[in-house]
Amino acid sequence: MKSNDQDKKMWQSVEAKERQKYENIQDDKKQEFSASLQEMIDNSIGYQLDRKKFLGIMGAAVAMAGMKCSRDPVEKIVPYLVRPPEAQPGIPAYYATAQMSSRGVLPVLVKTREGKPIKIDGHDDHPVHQGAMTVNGFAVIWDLYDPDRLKTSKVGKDGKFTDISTADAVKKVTEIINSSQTVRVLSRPEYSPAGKSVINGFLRSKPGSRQITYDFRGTIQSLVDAQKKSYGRAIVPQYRYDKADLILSIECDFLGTWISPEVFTKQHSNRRNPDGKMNRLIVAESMMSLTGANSDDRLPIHAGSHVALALGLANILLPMSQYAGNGNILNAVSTYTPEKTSEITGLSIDKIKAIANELNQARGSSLVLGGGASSRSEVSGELEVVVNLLNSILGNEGSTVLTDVPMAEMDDIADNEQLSSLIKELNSGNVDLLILDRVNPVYELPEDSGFKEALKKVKNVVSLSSYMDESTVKSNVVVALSHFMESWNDTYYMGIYTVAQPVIRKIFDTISFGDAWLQLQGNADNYYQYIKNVSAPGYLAGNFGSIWEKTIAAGYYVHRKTSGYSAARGFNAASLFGVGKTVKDSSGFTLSFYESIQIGDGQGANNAFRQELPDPVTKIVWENYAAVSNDDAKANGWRMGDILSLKNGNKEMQIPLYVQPGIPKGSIAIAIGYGHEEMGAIAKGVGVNTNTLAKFSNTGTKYSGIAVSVQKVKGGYELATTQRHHEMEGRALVRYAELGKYKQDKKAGNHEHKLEGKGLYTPHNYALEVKSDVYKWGMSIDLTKCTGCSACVMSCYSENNIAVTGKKEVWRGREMAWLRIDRYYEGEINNPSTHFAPLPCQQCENAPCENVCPVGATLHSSEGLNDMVYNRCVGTRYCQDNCPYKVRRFNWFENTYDKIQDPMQMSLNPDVTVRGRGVMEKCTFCVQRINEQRQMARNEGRAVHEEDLKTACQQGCPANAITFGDLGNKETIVAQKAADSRSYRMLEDINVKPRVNYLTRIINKG
Amino acid sequence: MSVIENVYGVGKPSREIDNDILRPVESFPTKLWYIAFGMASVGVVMYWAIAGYSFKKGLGLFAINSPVGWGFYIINFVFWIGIGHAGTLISAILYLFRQRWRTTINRAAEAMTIFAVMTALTFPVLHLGRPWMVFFFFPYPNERGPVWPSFRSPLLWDVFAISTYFTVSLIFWYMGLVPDLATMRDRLVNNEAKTKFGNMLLKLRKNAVNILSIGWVGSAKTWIHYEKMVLILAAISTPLVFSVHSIVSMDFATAIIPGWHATIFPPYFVAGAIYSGFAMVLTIMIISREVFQLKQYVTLKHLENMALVILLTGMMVSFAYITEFVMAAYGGNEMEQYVFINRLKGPYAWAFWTMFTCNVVSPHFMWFKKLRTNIYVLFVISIVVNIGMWFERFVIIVTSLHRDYLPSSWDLYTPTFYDYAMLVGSFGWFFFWYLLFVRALPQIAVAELKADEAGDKVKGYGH
Repeated sequence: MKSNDQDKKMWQSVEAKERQKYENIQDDKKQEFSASLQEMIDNSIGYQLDRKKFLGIMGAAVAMAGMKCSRDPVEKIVPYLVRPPEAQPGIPAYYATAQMSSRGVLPVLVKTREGKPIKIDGHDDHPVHQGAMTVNGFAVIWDLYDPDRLKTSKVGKDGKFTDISTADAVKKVTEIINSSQTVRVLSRPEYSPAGKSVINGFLRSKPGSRQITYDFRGTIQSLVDAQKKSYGRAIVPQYRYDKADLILSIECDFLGTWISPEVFTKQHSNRRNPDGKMNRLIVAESMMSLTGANSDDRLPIHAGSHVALALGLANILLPMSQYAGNGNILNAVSTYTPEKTSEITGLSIDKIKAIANELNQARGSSLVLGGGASSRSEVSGELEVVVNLLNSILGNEGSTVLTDVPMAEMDDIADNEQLSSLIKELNSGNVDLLILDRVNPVYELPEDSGFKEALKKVKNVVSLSSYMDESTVKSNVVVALSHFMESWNDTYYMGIYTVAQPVIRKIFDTISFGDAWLQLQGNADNYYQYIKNVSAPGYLAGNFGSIWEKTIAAGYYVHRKTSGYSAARGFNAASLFGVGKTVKDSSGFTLSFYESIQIGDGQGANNAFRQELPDPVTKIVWENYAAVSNDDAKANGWRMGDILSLKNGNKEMQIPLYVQPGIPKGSIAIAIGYGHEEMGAIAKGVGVNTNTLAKFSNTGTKYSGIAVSVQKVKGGYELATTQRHHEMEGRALVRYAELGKYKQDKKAGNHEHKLEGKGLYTPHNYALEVKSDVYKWGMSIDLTKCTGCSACVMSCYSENNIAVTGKKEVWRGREMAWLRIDRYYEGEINNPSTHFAPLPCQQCENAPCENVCPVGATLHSSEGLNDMVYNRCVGTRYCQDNCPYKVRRFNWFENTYDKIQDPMQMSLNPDVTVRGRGVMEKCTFCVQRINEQRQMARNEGRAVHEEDLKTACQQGCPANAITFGDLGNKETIVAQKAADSRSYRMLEDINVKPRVNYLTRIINKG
Repeated sequence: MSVIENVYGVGKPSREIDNDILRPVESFPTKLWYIAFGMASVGVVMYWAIAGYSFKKGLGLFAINSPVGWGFYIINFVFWIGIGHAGTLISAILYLFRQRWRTTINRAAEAMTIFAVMTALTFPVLHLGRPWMVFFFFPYPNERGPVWPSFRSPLLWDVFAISTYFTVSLIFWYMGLVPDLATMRDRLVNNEAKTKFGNMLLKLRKNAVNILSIGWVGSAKTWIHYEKMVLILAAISTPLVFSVHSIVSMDFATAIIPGWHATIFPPYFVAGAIYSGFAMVLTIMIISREVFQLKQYVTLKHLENMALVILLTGMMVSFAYITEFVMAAYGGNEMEQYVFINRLKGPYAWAFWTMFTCNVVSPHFMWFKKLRTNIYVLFVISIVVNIGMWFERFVIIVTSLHRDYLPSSWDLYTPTFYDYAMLVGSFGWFFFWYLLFVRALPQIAVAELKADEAGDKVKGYGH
């Protein structure tokens, strides 16, 4: 019994009182049934047991041992009688939507299984993109399921936050807005018409508010600035790589990071056909970009000398053009004689003249490109203006540079002057409220812009964000934004209108940015209605109701179609004013920043898959680094693994060194997007933020040609890379030939003797094993088309549930990628030619891995595949040792079960086994897709259609370099490619008979 | 039949021989033994603690990676299997060849074999990604199809080769022990301990030797059967001496990796195994004869003989090295050639040159009688040879794997703390058993020795 003391228990709060009540109930229970056996025994000791009673109890105990004490609670299950037609368990549903970043719009198909998006694919039917994808396009699936994404909104001050519901947060922001006089909105380039107008609606509803849109990477900003100056309209013109015979790119990584690289790669690769009219690509750059690595001719120039090169070329080409008589232009370019240009850029005079000559030869069918992060100078759009001039001089305007349907119109991007006046305004303390709409200016703006300090003077900062990033942690209210796959949106890009639909209900308590803005202006509509009623009617013509539905389903609506030609715009010579002033003779070290393919602008840095994707060129993961030339490293006694201190004035950054072939002496290149201090567990502390040394001024943000003094701080740092050896050692692994030689001899570069060896065992007799559906799966990879962009690798990661392992494990050589891209340098170290070769499992006919497995865990299938049986594998790793291609991956630790955090498991493909520890894995040729298609074909009593069956890498390739299909059927494209004169198999002389064919790389040396 | 003088004769009565050899078994351990045993036990604990940790966490603790999928574990495995070679060679082949000098070293060498194989066997199991699935290796009728192991895999051949070798070695060793166990049994009969606890232990021991000596009576009939059985066992064991390491070498020889794919491997591995095995016997015997005062049994002459075997097998191993290089140069396969150039001057050249110095240069000191009869020189060289042989396996496994066909997958192999700890721990595990052995069983085959001694007087050797 309870004592009286207990009854008089003091309580401090209502909760405590309630708890007390509950405890009392517990006490009462205790008296009737005790929970522990010991207690029962103790209780029964005092019990007098006679024989009869004992037997009675025992009998009862025996009888009751087979019984349960109570009935199971009745939980009625309900059959799924009326199932929505699109929800077929086990059958994926695809939804067309569009992904938007500061780079542009990427139309995608999202593959969902049982309501969960599991993979993103290219949109094959899309008229412009034609299924082209990027690394980033695939990686956003893990952003959706990122456990570090904001799960609910927050309010707080000085970095201390408490959770509130997003509805409350929006209300709170509305209150703040109502009590504020001056409101400023800082946002990023917007490709959504509804998004633009919804913010405009807010600005109209709130007098005293103003919006400033800025482009962190500067790609769009400087391009649009230059277009405005040269031609009067702030547009992103259409570049037609498919129409250009000669492409000159100055610091412009259009195959990797510039605007819409996937579209450009698609167009460019169409012209990488040695049997057709092959184009020629010349790249002048200060770092080794993906585009440079793919060039036919690469000109290494000093960091920051790109404008001089463009001016120098214009100087040579001007007299031969319609602008020859223009005195203003002549004035601007005349000082850049070949001699001076040579001196500044480090190129030889002959080379400059030769390039100019080539451009002149290809008038009207050439294309000059310039831009990207690594060309940003103090004067925004400086290079782009000269590039515009070159295109005008060469008559490319209207032929390869089209303006009838621009890629995007961007008249609202702020220049640096507007940004700095905003910062001044913030500093003055007159701004009551600053709304950060999906931007992270504290991280993104150069340190010397003073934004971080200015932010402290603002009374209220509201952040619309998906992450607790560097800017969000400095705000008062954080409104948690949904992922694009959870929200409605629309986009207009390249003349195509898309209604981007959500593909999953909101996973967390978040709000889509459109809804947020609507609610902040007191609009009762939701964003879906807004798009449908306000934005879409401006683009969709005809019977709106049916077209609306169709547009959503199809994922695109062709609003304007390019005619393929447009009128040449007149070049405004005044735009050259001030250009070239910043160019100085380079002495000492000059630094430039570039955008990496995996991390980009750093918005997606909290994604381990992006971090672990090897840089296509350097193959380094989980880091940015100072890429320096071999000459400099030698001259200064620096070695790989040293940490360098780069100093400009009183600003300093310390960063590990990487010796990168192809970088000119005196130049240093560093990737942006790294060095986050907040954002999430993955992004935090990885790499170094380049904004310490970036220079902010009223005319532009300087990313290139920053003079620095360099000193070694210490050594012994380890960079993790997936490829440590960069030469082919004279082995014919990537075979290549020049176009001229190929024209004469179709087997040029492919003259390896093939040995028909004898094996120890009898060959596989498929006829015996198979009764029907005889397929012989094979793959063909065209090395002329492959750019090494790594989209296939990311697609493979997503399709096959491949785990990421982290920097330390990659350093040990334990990355799990099933498909890797080998990159080899060849030729002189200061300007090597670069070769790429994607390496999936070669599915050898005489597979050396098969016969060494003691337990038969890797076997040959009846369709010629080398199958891996995970649950039979004991992990001897003998197969890995004996694989000449080293494509097998071992699970050294538990890579998935132990590490995956809710809700990341939702991204796993249910058709692919998640591999546990101690098991070997490797590329399966996407056997799950083969099985699916084979079954469907069998059901319909037909053979598998080649176009239905695509491996993940094939689907991900924007360059159409990968072909997959039945080698047994001579009609298939893959069989025809295998029979091509360019076709070869890697290491064929060891008689393993791989099923992957490579097509010789043909280089157009002009 | 000619009468051969037994140059290895001790010239002591049987009783004294018994006393000398059984002294360590019948007396209390010395301080030195306790120290050694303590150290070995620390090694054992470390070994199994790390094995348990890797069982729980995964093989990622060790340095192995892609492309170097096999590392210290397999190096240690081949090393210990190699050590385990001398025992059977001494007990079987030298027996068949009537090499008298084997009598005093065969017991210890066989014990060493058993313990070395026991050490070696732990590695391939712990080396599995999923060691709990090790039963997949055995061909037994099962309900999974039935699914059988793949008989094409050299790893499966290993399973049979090593298990056979271990079983036969164990039987051979045990059968050799039976007469000695009987001697121990007989000598223990009247022993009494001072304390109650001591008596308990003594009783345990009496019972143990009683059971293990399986009623040995030592009659002439027993001896006749016994001698026949030993002869048969020796005949069975002889091919095993060659088969085990030949098959282990096939793990490499049948693979297609340059540097592994070589037909010379089976004889080369066998020679190497005998080489390292004899070096290990030498190391152990030099210590034993010193510590247990067995100098008149294991004489300098014995040691000298072993030194000569080391010299011979060392030259065979050197020949194999040279053959490999010549074949690579002559074969014209650029991948093969690169592997050997890489051995000479690649990132692991230091391992190659260590191996070269230890294995090729060091045995040549044995040409000189002065050196090969010098205990200190012998001791140092015996250890140097085993260092060299460990590095030989390192060179074969690591340098071949780390740079194979595609330069893109070339990588380095940087051993971790756990790798080194397992290597050290394996010595702990080996010596743990060996130290127990020297306290529990006679290290020299007493019965055989006595028979040799008696034979001198009665009929000479050689029938």
